[in-house]
Amino acid sequence: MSAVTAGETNPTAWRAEIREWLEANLPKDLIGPQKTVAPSELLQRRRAWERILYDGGYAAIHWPEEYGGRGMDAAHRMIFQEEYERASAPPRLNIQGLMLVGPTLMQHGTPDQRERWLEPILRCEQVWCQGFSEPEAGSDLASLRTSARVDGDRYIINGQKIWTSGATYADWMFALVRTNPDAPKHRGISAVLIDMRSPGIVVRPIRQINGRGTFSEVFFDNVEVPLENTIGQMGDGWNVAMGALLLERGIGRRSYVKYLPLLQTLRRLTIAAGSDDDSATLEELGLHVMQVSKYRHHVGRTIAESTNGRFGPEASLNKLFWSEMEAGIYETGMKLHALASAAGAEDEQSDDYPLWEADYWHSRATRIFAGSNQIQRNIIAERVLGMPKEKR
Amino acid sequence: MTPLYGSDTTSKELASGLREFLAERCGLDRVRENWTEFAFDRALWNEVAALGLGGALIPESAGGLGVRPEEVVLTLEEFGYSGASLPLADTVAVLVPIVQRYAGVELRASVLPGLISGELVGAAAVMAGEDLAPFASEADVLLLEHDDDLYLLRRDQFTTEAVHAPDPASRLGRITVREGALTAENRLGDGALADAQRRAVWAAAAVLNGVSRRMLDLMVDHAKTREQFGRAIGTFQAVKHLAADAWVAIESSRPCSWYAAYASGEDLPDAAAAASVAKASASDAARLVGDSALQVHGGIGFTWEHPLHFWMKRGKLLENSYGSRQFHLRRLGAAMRDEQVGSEAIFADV
Repeated sequence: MSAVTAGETNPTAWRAEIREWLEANLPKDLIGPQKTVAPSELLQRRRAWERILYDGGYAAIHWPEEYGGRGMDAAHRMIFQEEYERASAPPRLNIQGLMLVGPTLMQHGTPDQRERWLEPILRCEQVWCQGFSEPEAGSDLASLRTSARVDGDRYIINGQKIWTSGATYADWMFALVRTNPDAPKHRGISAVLIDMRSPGIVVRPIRQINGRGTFSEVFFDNVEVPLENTIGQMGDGWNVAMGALLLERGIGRRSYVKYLPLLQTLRRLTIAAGSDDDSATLEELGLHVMQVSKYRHHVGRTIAESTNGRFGPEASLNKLFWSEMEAGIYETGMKLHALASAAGAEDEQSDDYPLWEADYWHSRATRIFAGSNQIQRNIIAERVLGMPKEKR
Repeated sequence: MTPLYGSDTTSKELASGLREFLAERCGLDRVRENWTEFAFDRALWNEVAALGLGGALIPESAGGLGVRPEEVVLTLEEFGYSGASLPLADTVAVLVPIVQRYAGVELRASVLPGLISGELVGAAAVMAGEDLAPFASEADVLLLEHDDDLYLLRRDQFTTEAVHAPDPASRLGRITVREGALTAENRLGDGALADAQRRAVWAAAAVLNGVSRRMLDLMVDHAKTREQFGRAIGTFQAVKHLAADAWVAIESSRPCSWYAAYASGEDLPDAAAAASVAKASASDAARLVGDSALQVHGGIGFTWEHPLHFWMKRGKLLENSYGSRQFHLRRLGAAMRDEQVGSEAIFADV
């Protein structure tokens, strides 16, 4: 894609390169929270932004060069992420494609499959969603029921997925389906790629407690999918997905910088509430500074100890840590918003409050999604600390 | 330089060296003995001093090893893990480097070789307004904060009196300075106090993280072997989650003391904040891990005979020394209020 720049070997130069490029190329109307833009308009802008990233050579710096990436290590990737967040650039639109489907295709896909799907992911021509969870298969994912019956050279898929992020606009779904109802539950599962425009698919957004509808239910009624859309062997979908989930929980998608604007908001609210000399409030602010610092150094340490892109056991604490940290920051913010409002300082705050409240409720969801924090604790206890498995 | 967080060879070799040495020379029997006699184990001190760690952080030209501050963090963790009752952390991280860097030629010549060789025992009471130091009664040399200045005192310039503390093996002593002992001659130069405080804080955090690691290991071992209801209690999720939370608290704290040592050595703008983060997180972890370890052990952990309480008590002493969790969190909160969030003073780029 692009020649090796000086920045690729020198972290300081790399940081400067990203900072400069973002300043020059990030559209001003995409910076920060988008409160008033219509969803369809916002989607269009974000697609356009992904294309700008692609043209600049920054779409997937961690992908190997043979697949159109730049083969950059975790340290460079984290510097990119820090600068991306520092610029308040919008969340990556095709996160499932870039972080989940792409790497999974590189690991398990055939040359034809890579040829067909990788490039459109890079160019953000096809946006992906993930179809794992079902109403009866949450933490116990392997009990999923959506069936894929083989009929000639295609599957006939029936069933339902749920909590699917981005399903309303995704072009493709990376799904786990049951291809063999008679096999032991982990072995009857296959990973298939489903065109979201196939006849028989209905997407229904779920209205959440914060009023948003970012997750959906997806229904399948005799949906036909070619057998050639299977990733890995038929029946090996559990292993394919477990590798994918490790990527989902992994390092590199989030940096401490993302939390600095939230800390700034807490600071502003503390002053508005007249609590800036209250020692209990200062202690609470200090707690959040400590947590964000801990997250920074946890990520830094995980990267320092990684070899050839593989992370050590400490990576297992990533999702548990950031979700609890985030929930705590929003909790303090709710209290300070109320105090500021009671102190009559709400004029200044009223614009921001609805967004903060919606994000507050969302921070409760982070403890549940991507493997609930109780499941994360089981994983740590069993895989890291070697405690005996419970029969499940 | 990209921060290494202890993944480098020097860190690992120094740490495994001390770990192996203390595993052999200061096993559970020796720790238990120290907790029976509560006497200063000078024999062990001489052996540890002979390893040469005392001068780790000063240049080879000054008789040291020329190691960087962050490279001894894992070693100090191993010291905390071992349960040895010695003034090692303050000597390595605070006394020797501070004397080497700030003391006048004569003062330095009179104490530095002895501190490095272990012949002289040192103590440090560097936190503002605190006149307490571990091993004060043994100390030949004392670093003492007084009215925002740092002084280096000799044995005949102060008296001590034993103080009750959670960890009697650390021999906490209250210091009284003899009249006229605080002079311009033994006052250390500008910057010495802030430097000594940062060092004392990250070093205490590193030792405390080692203490917590030991308590976690005891907890997990017990959960794997103790059977109730016909199976190991570690099978139960209620026990697993205590252990997992303890592990997260420790592993998310450890890189903070590494970074604090690094920031302090490099004089980064966030060095003071980093020290506070390190100590507050280590204190948090120690309290959580201590409580959970005792809970998982059940009644046996509440006996004097079981070794868990040695580390719980050392943890409790360290938790509230060198600035408590509350002290450091308020300091961080005040820094944030004063508009330093996202600024170099709290999060310096590296």
